[in-house]
Amino acid sequence: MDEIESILMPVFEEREENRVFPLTAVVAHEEAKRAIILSLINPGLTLLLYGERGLGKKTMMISASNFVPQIESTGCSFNCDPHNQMMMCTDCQKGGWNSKEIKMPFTILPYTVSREMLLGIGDVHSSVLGGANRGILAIRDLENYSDEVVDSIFSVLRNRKVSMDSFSYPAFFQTIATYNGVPGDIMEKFVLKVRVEEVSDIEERIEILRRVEMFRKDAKRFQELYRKEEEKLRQRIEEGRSMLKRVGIPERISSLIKKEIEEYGLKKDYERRIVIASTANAAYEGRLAVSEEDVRDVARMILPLSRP
Amino acid sequence: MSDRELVTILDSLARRRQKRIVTGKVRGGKRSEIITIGKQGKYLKYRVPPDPEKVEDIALLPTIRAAIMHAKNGKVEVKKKDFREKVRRRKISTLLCIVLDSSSSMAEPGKINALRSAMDTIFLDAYQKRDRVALVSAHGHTAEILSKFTSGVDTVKKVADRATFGGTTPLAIGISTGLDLIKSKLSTEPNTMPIMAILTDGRINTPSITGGDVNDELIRLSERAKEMGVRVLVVDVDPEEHGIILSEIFNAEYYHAEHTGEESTFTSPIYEMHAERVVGLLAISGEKRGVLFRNFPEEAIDAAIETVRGAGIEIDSTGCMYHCDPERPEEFCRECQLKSELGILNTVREPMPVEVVEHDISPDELKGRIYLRFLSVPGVFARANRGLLFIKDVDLLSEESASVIADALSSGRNLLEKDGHVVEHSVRFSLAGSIGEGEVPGALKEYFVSVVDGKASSGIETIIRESLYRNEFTTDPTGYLKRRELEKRSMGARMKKAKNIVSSVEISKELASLFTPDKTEIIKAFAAMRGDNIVGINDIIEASKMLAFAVDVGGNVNEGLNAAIREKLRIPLVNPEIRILFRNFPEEAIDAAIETVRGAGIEIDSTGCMYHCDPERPEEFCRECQLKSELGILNTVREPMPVEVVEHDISPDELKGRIYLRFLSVPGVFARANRGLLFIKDVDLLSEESASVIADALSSGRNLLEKDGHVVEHSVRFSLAGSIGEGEVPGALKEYFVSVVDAREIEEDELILKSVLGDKVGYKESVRRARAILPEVSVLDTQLDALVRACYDMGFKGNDSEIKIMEYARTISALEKRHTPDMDDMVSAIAFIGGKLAHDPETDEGIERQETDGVKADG
Repeated sequence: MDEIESILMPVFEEREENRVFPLTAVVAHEEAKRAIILSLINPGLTLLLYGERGLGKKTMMISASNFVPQIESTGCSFNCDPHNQMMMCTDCQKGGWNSKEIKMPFTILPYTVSREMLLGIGDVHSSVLGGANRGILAIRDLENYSDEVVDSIFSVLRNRKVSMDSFSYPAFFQTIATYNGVPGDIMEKFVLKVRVEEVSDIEERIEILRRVEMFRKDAKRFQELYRKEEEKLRQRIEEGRSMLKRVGIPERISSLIKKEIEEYGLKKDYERRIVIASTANAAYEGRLAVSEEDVRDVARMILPLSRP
Repeated sequence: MSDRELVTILDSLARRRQKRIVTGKVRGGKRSEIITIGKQGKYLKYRVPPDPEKVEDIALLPTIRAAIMHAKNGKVEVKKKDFREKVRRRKISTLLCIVLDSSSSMAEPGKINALRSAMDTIFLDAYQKRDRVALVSAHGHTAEILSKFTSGVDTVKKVADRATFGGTTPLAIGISTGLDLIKSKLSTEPNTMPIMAILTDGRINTPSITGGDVNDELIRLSERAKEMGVRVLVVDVDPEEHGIILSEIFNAEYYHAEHTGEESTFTSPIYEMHAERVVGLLAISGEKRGVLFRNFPEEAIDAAIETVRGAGIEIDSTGCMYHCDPERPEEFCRECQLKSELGILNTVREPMPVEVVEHDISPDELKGRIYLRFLSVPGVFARANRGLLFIKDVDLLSEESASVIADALSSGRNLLEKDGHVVEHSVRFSLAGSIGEGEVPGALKEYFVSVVDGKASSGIETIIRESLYRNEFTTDPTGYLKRRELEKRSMGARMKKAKNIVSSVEISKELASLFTPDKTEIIKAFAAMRGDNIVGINDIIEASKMLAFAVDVGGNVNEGLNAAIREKLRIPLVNPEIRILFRNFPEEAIDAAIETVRGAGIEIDSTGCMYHCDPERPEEFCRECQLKSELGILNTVREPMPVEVVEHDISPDELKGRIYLRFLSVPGVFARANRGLLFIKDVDLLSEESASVIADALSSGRNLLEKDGHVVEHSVRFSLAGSIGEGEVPGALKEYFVSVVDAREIEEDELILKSVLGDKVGYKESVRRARAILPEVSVLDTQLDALVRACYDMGFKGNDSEIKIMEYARTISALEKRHTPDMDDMVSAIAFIGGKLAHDPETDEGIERQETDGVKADG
């Protein structure tokens, strides 16, 4: 297993690095970009990008892979956290591992994934969700997956753990998904929902095409052109992440959220969703206290389209 | 007038009520007034100096007056405490930071003119008032400092004049950069009064931070400007005064720069270009055959004739007034006959005659006249001989004139007689004419081989073409006109050359059998225009389109369908990014086409392994090739390009392959088709599972098999095409197909042509060459611009249609051996792809419905 990995991994890594379109080079779609950033700051903010085909949802989602940080891991197939005994797989709990730095996993869910592959039934170490632990699971075209697969993902996400026979492993990951068209009930499983709309401004459309053509001609040079901005954004996200725990929410604002949610007759969970999202927003803006602006910025990504 | 206004605004921005006496460092100028201490300026009043030790500019009288106050014994003694210093009023220069919005929306002629004139005014005024000027340009994703603060206004102006436009509008970054520049200057000169002039059309769309809100950022910047004491002027060049919003945010002075200067208006060149080609072809082919134009604007026809006339097409002639042909002594006029007998006949090169006549021309004017029994005055026939005669409004021609023309053409002679005196000369010219709603007079009917209808050609392609031209004109009118002028000239040059080689052009019997000899001759001229002396397939297709030639023989439609598939299959073979579907084609045609492609002998370089690994891409090697490569025993072999055909009921396992007994891997379709062509029959009937497997392979570029810890992996890179029935493409695969070729949309004539012409010869070569060229084919920025604007005009949905169109245009351009797509490539790409698969009506309606039903939730 190890031997194969060592042969394959460099190949994969190089390929990915070569083809990722910089998020900062994406024209328009500011709300979607903001949502991606927020979800990178707080992995609890599951994100769904939906809308017509061909607007760049997938491109933006994959662009997020440029911002995954290094994490410390026990080096097992579940990237167990050496500092969190509770969230370790059965093997790691027994000890005998050495802590090492790895790149946070960014897993693109294959279209052909089955429940068995998701959970690693048969071969627990090849579990897709286990491999995505502590990382990001990117789901392209959510509408193409069977209910069975989607339900498995969300049930694992709720339990943060998969137990099979005598073995258990952690599986907690950030989920970003794209959906072509308008999702039905599945929409509310996600904390952040952003409808990606067609860019109609001519100037922006020209710029999109210009950048795509530049990227095609010489991806490396294009990425180099945006390297500085990507680095800046990476730093902001990094700072946001480390600041997150220190951001507080003033009493006035939390009661405002509470009141609004009650008035709309929404489930109480929405209150929690708004609080964590606006906290992440404040962290991204570099503020230690959540402001009304933060709430306004995120509420439209959170509140459901229609009354439940 | 308005210039004055702009200067007044600038002055008012620099004027501030300030009672405070300025003591720090200042720079002289002529802009704002300050009250200051020092040796320069107008003496206003005096004051008691804060520090008598440091007085430089003593106010003499007040000082003496102060000293008098404590005079003792009539003796005035001036002590230090008596010193009074002068307070002066002085004009100083100011800091003027110009922030220029250089996004692509500014690059419209009206806006550019307004911008240039406003900038000229500002720079001139800044120069006169000795201001120091800085220039920041914002476009794309960033702002650029084109010039830091300097008093060399001239240099800054030159830089500004050279500024290029393009990209989105990150004006917030521009403003913030400008404020930074001012700030650094203010630290050394706190007393200057900085002004920021923002020149924009107010269409700001790019925030400075990813995921930011443009308006929020502008509000924050306006607060910063206020704190720093920077006054802001917004010069708005937008015709709809869009910049007023920005000026409100900044609490700025607002100046609307009117669009000045006459704007040349755009006229579509389509008809002119079409007429130009057709008239040119007739002029080149010569010989008594004609084409009529219906529904063409008169100006287009006139311009086309002018181009042909100006082309400098030449003929060999004896130099007589009938332009007798030295090669045809049997047709000599009397004079040439005599000269020839005497051996004194010369051959000269002269311009080919082009004569235009109105419909009311009389028979006499046509034939010429004899006066006084011997003086003959040549008519139109004589003047037009061996050239081109263009008749306007042929349907209004009198019966007499029509028969005179018909007689001359049929006999090839023009005979004049008066009282026994006879003048005779040959008549050999090609004929063209315009026609209104009426009919061609009976006698002339047979001489016109076709009618080119301007309306008939105003299909989708014409609309696209027109839109592309209009948009090129909008972004760069002078450049556009220059290009058109060049195009005309090169067209003329081609005509001139073609005339000289047209007689040597050959056509194969097979091709010649398609049309009557008259049409064939004109088609030969088409090849000559390309500079070739063999008629090619494209000449036939294009000429028949351009001249509205109907095919004159029957043909095998099925063979035509087969050829149509082969031809289109070249596209994915050259560029695997373009995957296409075929609808309504008979299965036999598809099978036959694939068979031909398979037999075409296209080859690839491979390592010879079962996945056909590409020796040029070691990073994609399969395990075996990796090992071989490490051991240095990897070979490169040439092998036939794989062509795999699968039915819709193929299973995921058959596609991916299988591993037996933990180690024996049996390659699937992906392995077999790798680096070749995969054709799927009835894509609409494909199972969701198989569709997902294919989509996975396409998007990851890998195929991964695993069994009990044994892993097989190989790269997947193939061209994909398929046939489709009435159904939909399975969801997972939807976005991978770019467009559909529908057999029902291909005209029968075209199919007959294709069936006869075939393309077997050169198939392999054309694909191979195009594959090699493709990576270097790139689209010009102006073309991108025009393309997006055209898609916008056509109302295409989705932002990826433009991207797909561009890829397609690059591919057909590569097939034509061009490194930059030309107008025709762009047009056919837009027509083929535009809006076809990019738009999904189902989901779109779904979205609208949901939005109206649901309660809109706004935070």
